[in-house]
Amino acid sequence: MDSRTRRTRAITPPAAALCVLSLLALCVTVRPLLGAQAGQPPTGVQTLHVRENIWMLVTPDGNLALQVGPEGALLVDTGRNGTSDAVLAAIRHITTRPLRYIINTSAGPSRIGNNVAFGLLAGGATDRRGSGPIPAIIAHESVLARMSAPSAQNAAAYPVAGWPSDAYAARERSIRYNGEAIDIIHQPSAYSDGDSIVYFRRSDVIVSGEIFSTKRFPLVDREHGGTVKGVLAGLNRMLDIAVPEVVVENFAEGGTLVIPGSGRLCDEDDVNEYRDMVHIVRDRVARLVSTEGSLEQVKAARPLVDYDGRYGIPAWTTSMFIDALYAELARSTTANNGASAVR
Amino acid sequence: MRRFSGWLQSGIAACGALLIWAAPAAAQVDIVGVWQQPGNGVVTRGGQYEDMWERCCGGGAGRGGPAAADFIGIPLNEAGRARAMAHDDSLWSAPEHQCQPHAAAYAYWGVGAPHIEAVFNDSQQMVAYHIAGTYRRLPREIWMDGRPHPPEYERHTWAGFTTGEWKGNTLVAKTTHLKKGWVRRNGAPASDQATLWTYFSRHGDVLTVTVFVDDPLYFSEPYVKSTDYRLAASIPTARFDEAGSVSAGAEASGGDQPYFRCYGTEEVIFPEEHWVSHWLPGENPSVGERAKRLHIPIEATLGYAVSAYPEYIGQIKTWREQNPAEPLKTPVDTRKTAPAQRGPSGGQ
Repeated sequence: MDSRTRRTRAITPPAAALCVLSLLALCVTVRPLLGAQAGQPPTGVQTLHVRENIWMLVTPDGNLALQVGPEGALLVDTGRNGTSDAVLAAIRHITTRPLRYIINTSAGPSRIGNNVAFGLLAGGATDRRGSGPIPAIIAHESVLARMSAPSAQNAAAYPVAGWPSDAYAARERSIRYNGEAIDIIHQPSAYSDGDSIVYFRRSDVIVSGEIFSTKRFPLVDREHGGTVKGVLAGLNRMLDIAVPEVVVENFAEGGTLVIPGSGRLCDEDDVNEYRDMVHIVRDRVARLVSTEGSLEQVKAARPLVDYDGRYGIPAWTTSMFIDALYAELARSTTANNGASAVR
Repeated sequence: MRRFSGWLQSGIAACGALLIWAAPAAAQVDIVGVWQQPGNGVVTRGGQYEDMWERCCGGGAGRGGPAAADFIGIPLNEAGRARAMAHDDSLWSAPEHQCQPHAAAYAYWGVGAPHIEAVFNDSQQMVAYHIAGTYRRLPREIWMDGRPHPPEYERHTWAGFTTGEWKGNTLVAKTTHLKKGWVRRNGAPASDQATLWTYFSRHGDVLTVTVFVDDPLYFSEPYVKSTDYRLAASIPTARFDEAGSVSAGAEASGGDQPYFRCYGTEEVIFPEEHWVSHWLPGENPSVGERAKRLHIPIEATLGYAVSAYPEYIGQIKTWREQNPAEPLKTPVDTRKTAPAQRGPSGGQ
C-alpha cells in the first residue's frame, strides 16, 4: 500500500462529510452575522447613536431621543401607550442611569403614550426598582391643557401621573442638563397648538417632534390648533438653527443633525427637501383653491402626484393631507376676500 | 477503497465549491489611479468632450449646462415628470441649496477628476476603494469587505453607502442611502429611494463608468448612462497658499481654487425669506423650447423611456415629415452659418 492509498484510507466517509458540514456551518453562521445589527436590544425598539451623548430610539410608531450623562438620562417623548417595556429595555441597553427628565414635543399619541408609565418611575430607575423622586415632565402648557382637560365622562383624558409637571408658556424654555444647554422652543400652531422643537446645543442635534418626518406628509391636528402654515414655519425655524458641515470634503450635509418624528436620522438638507415639498404643495393647492374652488376639483387635479408615492401612507394619505390643506387655505382665501391665500 | 475514493472526491469537490463560493472574488484588473475626462480634469481644465452637452453646450442659460425642461432619454414616470417640470433653476440661488454637491447618481458628469485609492486595514487587507475628486469632491467609499448596508433609519448622504464586488474584470458597486438628487442639472430628479448600480470597467488606460439608477419613485425603468475616463498622464501638486483658501460661495470665486469651502449667501433678493422657487403645474415656460430648437415633438423632451432608444429616431423622422420645418424667412449666408464638420457621432 503506497502512501497515497494510506492517506486515502485515512479520510473516511464521515470525515469527508464532516469537512463539508463544517464549511457549510461556517458559511451559514458567518454570513448572517455580517448582516446582523450587533448590539440591538431584542425589543423591537432600535437604538442609533447620533452624536456624543445623544441616541435616537426607533420605535414602530416614531422616533424618541435620549440624552445621557453623569446627571442621568433625559428622554424626548415617551412613545405610544403600551410600549413602555420595550422603550425602557432600549434605554437600559444604553444606560442604567436614572431617568430624570422627560420632554414632550406635543400631545400626540406617540409622544405622550408612556408618560404615565415613565412618570411613575421611582427614582427614575428604568428597572422599576428604585426609590426617590420621579422624573420631571416638561412640555408646552397646551400639552398640559389637553391632557388635563375633562373628557365626556368628566374625568381628565389622561391620568395625573402622565401630565407635564413643568409646563411652560413662554416662547421657549431652556435648561442645562449633563453640562449641555437644551432649548425647548415652542412652535405655534404646527402639528398642534403645543409643539416644541428641542435643540441640544453642544451636541448640535435637533429633535423635531411631529413637525418633520421622512416617512409621511406633515401631520396636522386641526382639531387642536394645527396648521400647515405652522408646520412650514417650524421647518424654516429648524433650517435657521441648523448649520451644515463646512469643511473641505463634506458640506451641504452633516453638521447639525435632526431626529425626525419618524423616519431616518437627518441633517439640514433633508429638512430642506421636506420644507420645499410642503412649500410647493401648499402653493399648488392654494392656486387650485383660488381657480377650481371645490375640494373634489382640487383632488381631481392631482396636485401632489410627484409626492404621493413618497409621503402618502395608509394612516395619513395624500387625500387626508389635501383635506387639511384645503380646509386651511379655503378659510384663508375667504378671510382675504378672495385674494390669493399664498402670498 | 474505490467507494471511499468516491466519498473523498465528492467531499473535496464540495469543499472546493464552498470555498470558491465563500471567498470574495479577486480583481483581475484594478481601478486605482487618477482619472480624467479628455479635455477636463486635473491637468486640463475646461469643457468635456464626451459630455459637453451637460457642461458647456447643452443650450441652457448662456449655453452653459443642459437646457431647461429638456429630459430627452430620461425614463421619467408621471411622478418624476411632474417633479422635473416643477424645477426652477432659481432654486440654486437659495442659500439652502447653493452648496449642494452632485449626488452619486450624477457625480461622474460633474467637473473634476476622480482619484481612486485602495484602503487597507491594519492587516494590510484591502477593505475599500476611496473615491474623491469629483465635483465638490464628494468623497466616498466602495466597501469591499462584505459589510452589509445600514438599516433604513441611518442617514442618507450625497454619496450614499456603497458596497462593491468584482464580477470578472468589472467592479460592480451598489449604492443606497442617497439623498434626493438629480440625473441632469436641469432638475431631472433621482429620489432618496433610488438604488444606484455603478459598473467600473478598465481597458488599459481607459476607465468606463456605467451608472444604472433604479428609482421606483420617479423612473419607469432604470436610467442608464456611461462615461469614459483616461488615466492622468501627470498629477500637478497644489501650491501651499491655495491649500487653506476659503471662498464665500465657491462659485463666486469661479470655483478655480482647488480647495474651497461653501457657505450659503444672499445671491439673489427673493420676495420673502425662505423662498422656494418652483413652477406650478402647466406653467413652466421652458417646456417646448428645446423641442422647437431641435425641431422634434415636445413629447420627446418630456422624459419618456422610449426616447432613450435608437428606434425613437424613426418616430422623430416621421414626425418631421409630417411637420416640416418652417423655411427661413431671410436669405442666409451659408458660409457663415454652416456647422463645423463633426465626426460621425458628433451631431445632435
